[in-house]
Amino acid sequence: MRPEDVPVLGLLTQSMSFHNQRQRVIAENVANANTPGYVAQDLDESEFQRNLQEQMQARSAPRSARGGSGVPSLTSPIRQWQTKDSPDSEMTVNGNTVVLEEQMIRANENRMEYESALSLYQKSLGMIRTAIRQAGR
Amino acid sequence: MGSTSDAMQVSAAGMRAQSARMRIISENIANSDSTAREAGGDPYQRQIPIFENELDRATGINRVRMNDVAADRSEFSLEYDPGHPAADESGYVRTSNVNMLVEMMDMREALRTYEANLNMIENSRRMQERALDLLRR
Repeated sequence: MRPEDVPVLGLLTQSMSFHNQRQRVIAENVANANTPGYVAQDLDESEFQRNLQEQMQARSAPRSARGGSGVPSLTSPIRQWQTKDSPDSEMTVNGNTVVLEEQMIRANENRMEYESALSLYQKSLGMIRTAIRQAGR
Repeated sequence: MGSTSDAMQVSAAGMRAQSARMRIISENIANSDSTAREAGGDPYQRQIPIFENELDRATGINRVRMNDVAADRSEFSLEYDPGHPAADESGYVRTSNVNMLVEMMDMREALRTYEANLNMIENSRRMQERALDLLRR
């Protein structure tokens, strides 16, 4: 059994991998902050949320409706998310649409979301550990 | 984990590009008073770094690099100095088209973008560190 087979851990893993990839995209934007004609990119957060929602529904459906026994297999938790153009509020004369301040805010937001998923992951692991520990120890 | 180190590499490429730009700016400032040796020659021509967004096909990340350095084609300024070896018949010397204010502004921008990239590295590093904390317990 992999950690991802535990529902909570699987969802959190996906969330972390999403934020990991988003971090990379933001880093690309910052690195290209002076490249003429570069359009700021971002990942599609609504698609990600929809995907999570679908999986949560699939998991909470009654076992008979899932037509099998056991836990439904996850779509592979490491998934590549598509990037899309997401220009910031200003465009410079050379057609660059990266505004450093906005990217910094995005990066911090992203890190906070990542860290909250990570903390939840840690706590869930701790709960499992407590459950498998021998009583009285 | 892969994405975070990719993010750091992108940021590192951004920092490299900005320091290359810084070098060009210091060349411009250092040569702002360089003139030709004899009459009719061209003085120092201001150099402009050109950034390019480069897709690394192996990893699929969008890096940045300083693709080329081009000469600024704006007019040279004239200074009246009849005794100068590069003076023309009417006593004018052509001096470089470096504008100190523009260079200073460019320098500030390079510095700012460099710091933003540094911030991104710090951000990614902290994310990675937190993930590694999972192993600690």
